[in-house]
Amino acid sequence: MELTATTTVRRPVAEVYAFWRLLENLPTFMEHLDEVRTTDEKTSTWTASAPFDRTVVWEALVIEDVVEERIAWRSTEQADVPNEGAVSFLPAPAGAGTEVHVHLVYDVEAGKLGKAVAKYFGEEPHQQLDDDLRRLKQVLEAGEVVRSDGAPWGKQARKEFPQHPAQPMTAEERREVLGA
Amino acid sequence: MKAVTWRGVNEIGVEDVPEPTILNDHDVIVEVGLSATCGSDLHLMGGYIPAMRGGDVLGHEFMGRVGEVGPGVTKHQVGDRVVVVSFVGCGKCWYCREGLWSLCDNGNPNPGLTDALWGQGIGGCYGKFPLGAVMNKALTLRGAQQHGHRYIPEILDRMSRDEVKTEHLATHVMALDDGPEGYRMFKEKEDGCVRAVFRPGG
Amino acid sequence: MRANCWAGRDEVEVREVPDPAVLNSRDAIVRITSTAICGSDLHLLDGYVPTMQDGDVMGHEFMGEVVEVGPGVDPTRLRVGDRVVVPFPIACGACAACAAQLYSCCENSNPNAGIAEKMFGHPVAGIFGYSHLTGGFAGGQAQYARVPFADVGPLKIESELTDEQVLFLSDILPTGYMGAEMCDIQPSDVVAVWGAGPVGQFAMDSARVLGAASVIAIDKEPYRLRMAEEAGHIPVNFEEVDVRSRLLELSGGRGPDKCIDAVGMEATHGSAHIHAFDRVKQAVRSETDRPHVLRQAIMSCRSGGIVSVIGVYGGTVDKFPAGAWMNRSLTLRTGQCHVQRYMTPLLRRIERGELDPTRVITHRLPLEEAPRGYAVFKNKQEDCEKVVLTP
Repeated sequence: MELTATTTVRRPVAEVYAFWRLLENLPTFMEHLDEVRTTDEKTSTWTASAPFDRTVVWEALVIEDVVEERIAWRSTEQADVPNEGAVSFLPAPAGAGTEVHVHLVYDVEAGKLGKAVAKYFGEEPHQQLDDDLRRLKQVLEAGEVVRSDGAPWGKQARKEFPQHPAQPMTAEERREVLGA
Repeated sequence: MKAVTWRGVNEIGVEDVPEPTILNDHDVIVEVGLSATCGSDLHLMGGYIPAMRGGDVLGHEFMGRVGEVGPGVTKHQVGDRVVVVSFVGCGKCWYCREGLWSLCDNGNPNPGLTDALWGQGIGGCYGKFPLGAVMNKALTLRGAQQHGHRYIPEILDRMSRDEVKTEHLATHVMALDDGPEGYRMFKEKEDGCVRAVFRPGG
Repeated sequence: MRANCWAGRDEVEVREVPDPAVLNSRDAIVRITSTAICGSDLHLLDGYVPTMQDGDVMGHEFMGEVVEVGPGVDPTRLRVGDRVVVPFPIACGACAACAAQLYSCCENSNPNAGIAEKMFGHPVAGIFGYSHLTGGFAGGQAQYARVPFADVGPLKIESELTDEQVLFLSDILPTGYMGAEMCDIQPSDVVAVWGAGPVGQFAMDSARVLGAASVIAIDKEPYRLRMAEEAGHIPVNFEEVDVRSRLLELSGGRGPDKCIDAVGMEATHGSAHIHAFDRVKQAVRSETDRPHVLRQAIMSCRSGGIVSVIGVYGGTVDKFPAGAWMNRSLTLRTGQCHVQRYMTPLLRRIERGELDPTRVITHRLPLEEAPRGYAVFKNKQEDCEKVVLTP
């Protein structure tokens, strides 16, 4: 499964590149990622929520890193769902910010979780990546992922349909959502 | 003289028709050197524009030399080489003075027809128009037939500086007698035809 | 707290709901002192806007006092105790749309952007109390509201102006004004406004303030036309005269130079036959909006003129007169109002007495009577023009 998506972030290329290069930041806007921990300059451990409340963990390797231009990575051999990705950063016309072009490949034929993952992405696998990039924009431009009463979950908004009514949450619901 | 004519839906011919004469004081007669097919001629060919009659002479993109001038004409003389704007603009009414030449109040001898079509009845309508998207995305829709008189001086200027070129679009130059074949190739996009251009002089 | 909630098609109900809390760092909580029912709330009531859910708090026109601010709110912009009018589009202030002052197209304020994108091709800003399509934000027909990006939108009122004088800066006054501003009004312009509801009235007043030669009000309700006439505009009742002929008469045969559609998707039409056609299509959802007004505005507008659309449309329309638009060089301008852009200049015009927003208020009710307010407003009973609610 191959996904591409593009957005324009109204921040300088250096800032957008630096934010992405610190892989720990990815879970702030990528819905399926729970955590990324870098182990050294090139290697990192990624944790993602999978269907049926399962968690998948894999090691990834940065295979290309051109400062303020492009970052590419791929999972190492043991991954349940072999995957690779690349992101390019281009200055938008007339200094209007940074174009972020993302390309992800999931090998859903190989690995034991492939089919479940394909199902998880559903009929419109693009939607999730599009939403991820929208949240990247929110974080870099507006400071955080925006929550509403109807979609209070931040980056997990898509999970909630029908949504919470557009009325304030009870204290209990708030504790569950905000984890505080 | 010879002319390419509309004979019916998807039927184009070449026939002998009377030569034009000065009818109004501000008329000139142009000896056409080159004349082109236009995409909008295909709407006429296909019968999508009402009020076409068999024998109507086709073509609204042409140029040539002025062969005769009416008594009221001061701007042109016999022998001038001219490009003719497809819209007939009087140059005097409010619209022409505002540069909205294609809206000329006085250039159309049949204003009642277009008034009924575009000013009153529901003519030229489009179904399933995504107005919600237009509204919510704050789009501006600007419609217009070209106000050619307004742009030609600037375009000529840019052509003289090589910033704009159009020669490459005249992919098929042919004799006026081949008009029907030219329109066919243009419509079918045959042989890479982008524009068929006719030379009445052969 | 008490809040007026959507309870299904044709039904609103004042219920007890939880108090709002800060969810994002730049939120503020506002104790609402005045709130209003908007014509566009009727589109929600009538079920023409998808993605409404039972219990959604209604209302996007409100003002009040800031009682709490999140840790990210810039204290030089907003503090507890400030008296504020809240603009209906929620805007981050940082994206490309906000930078271009296209606040209602904010790219970051709608958590349900994906749904809106499916409907419109691109997402639109979050809006208070206006369906989950525009984010699922609780509205302001309530005792309290949570206001995101509170250091961007809300306008502080530091003068002694009453709530009623400034409340409509939240939506309908800027919306009417933008309708007129999009017309690029010249001193020679005859401006025709379809719809003499509150937004239409403000579009008329704004056209006059911006220098139009004359302003025409088109509606069918005698009391609304009277209200427009009393404000100095020329009334045309579309049930009594042929609109296009009357407009030609009133504009020296040219047609109005600028036309404003302040009605939108639920228009009624002088011709029962055409209305029935669109009504049926709307009912079976093959056409979502009834565009008589837009058709008539396009047909009536003089060639090369501007048709400005501020009435709300949500979906698709049939019989859009594309031929007239193209051949007669018309410009169609539209948008949900970019309220933040107009609030301060319009506040100044209110202070200088150039505009009097209170002239449209006919009903003042406690929040508990919101359902009655919706009924009289919707059915145009008791000569209802505008309902203000006090929590």
